[in-house]
Amino acid sequence: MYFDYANVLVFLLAGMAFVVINLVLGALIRPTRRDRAGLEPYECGEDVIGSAWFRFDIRYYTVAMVYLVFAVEVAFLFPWARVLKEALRAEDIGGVALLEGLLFIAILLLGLAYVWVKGDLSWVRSFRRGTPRGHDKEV
Amino acid sequence: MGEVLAFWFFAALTIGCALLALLHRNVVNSAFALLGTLLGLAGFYVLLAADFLAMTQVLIYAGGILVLILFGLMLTPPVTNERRFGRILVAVAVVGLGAVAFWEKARGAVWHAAAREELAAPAGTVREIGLEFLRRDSWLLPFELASVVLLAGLVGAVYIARRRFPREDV
Repeated sequence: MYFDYANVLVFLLAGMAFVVINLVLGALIRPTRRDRAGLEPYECGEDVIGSAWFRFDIRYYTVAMVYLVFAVEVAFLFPWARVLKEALRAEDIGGVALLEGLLFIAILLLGLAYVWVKGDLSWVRSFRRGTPRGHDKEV
Repeated sequence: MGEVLAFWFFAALTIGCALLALLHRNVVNSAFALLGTLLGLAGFYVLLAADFLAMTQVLIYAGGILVLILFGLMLTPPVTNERRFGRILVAVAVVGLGAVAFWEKARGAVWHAAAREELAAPAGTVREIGLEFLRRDSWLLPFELASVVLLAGLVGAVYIARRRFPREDV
């Protein structure tokens, strides 16, 4: 069964090789002029003020948690998707299999609808007091 | 032979990255070092013929949990040049407690892959798990309940995170 992981290994090595080769290629080809402006994070943009590490908005965290829940959903759906084709051919459990997976997805879509309607996914929103939650006007 | 090599590779990756995560002065770099540890563990799961677990490990721990940790760091005030001594002390204590807890098991364990025939036989666990999910007298209901639990977790987590705290910036 380890042979099945040969393709995983190939993907992994190809991905790493892509990064390394491009970095080496870039180092060989590009001119090296070390002036102050070239070393700044935004070479031709804003001047940097302070550290990049400050306290970020809690909405990043909300999005990360939504992502995590759907990652767990994928982990659950993965074995189901693996046998779905087989089950559909088997006729006796085919309908159950399809309905089961669709119901699973539908229940979690409720969660997506919830965060969407409540405005947790919209990036720009006002924080004025008095506006009911989720009905903020987008700026 | 290949398995032994892979085992040592994953062992080195896991422990090396764990040490790096422990000893690095910058917490963000520690979090990135944790990625190697989590991927190494996924490699162990593959070697133990638990491919579903390995997939879950990569997807949820190396993917989701690590993002959550990094975002958690972004929410906290920056901490650099933290004293490492306390962390090392905690790590030694945790490893020691684990060693004590598993000492009896570890002493009785056969370390030289005696179960190799058993491990060589299965062609992956994902298909079996999937079939169990489809059987009405087996895991179909828990499978559906899992989505309800996930939904509750999602709504609860977002609700708690949405409470407004006094904002200092922008």
